[in-house]
Amino acid sequence: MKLNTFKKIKLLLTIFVTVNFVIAIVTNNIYLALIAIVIGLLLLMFVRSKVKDVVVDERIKQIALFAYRNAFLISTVILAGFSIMFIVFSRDSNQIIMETIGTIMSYISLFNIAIYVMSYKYYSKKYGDKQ
Amino acid sequence: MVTNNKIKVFRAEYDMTQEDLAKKVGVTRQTIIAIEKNKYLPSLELAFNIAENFKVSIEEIFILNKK
Repeated sequence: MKLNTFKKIKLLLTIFVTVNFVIAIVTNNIYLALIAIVIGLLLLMFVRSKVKDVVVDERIKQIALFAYRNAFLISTVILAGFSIMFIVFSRDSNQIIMETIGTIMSYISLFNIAIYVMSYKYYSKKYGDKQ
Repeated sequence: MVTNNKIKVFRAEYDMTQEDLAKKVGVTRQTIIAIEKNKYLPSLELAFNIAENFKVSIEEIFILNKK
């Protein structure tokens, strides 16, 4: 299979999963969403195994790396910022729900940072640090 | 970018398309385009593969701009 055909099938599969996901949300049916995701992933894996051209190379991996890094940075900063805002405003207005949301968000951002630190240590050891 | 390269010249010499070279060195055509335009610096392994494909040394294809 050619790369262009794979890209077209991938787009169709994405549309299929998205449409099913929207229908699942509208009809409040979680099983439909789960089935759509599983079918989509299985079909994608099957189609990908049939592609003879190179799908992912070092340039694409590097682009993905930059994208992941930006996604991590932006999401962590936004989560941390909002969590501080929620906690501070909840103290002024005495709303327990806001404080709870703020606390959960701060834990999520801390969890993100913890995963980053652990991954960093793992890869720095793998690529030559302190051996 | 700190390097220039002569991939386009060597491709013309060997009468190869970007697609042919991409297949031979195991990357996508977009990667070859990006390298030719100096928008992407290839890994050492890919640079060696490209040089090997044209039967020359790396220095003959990739030139470091010492600025």
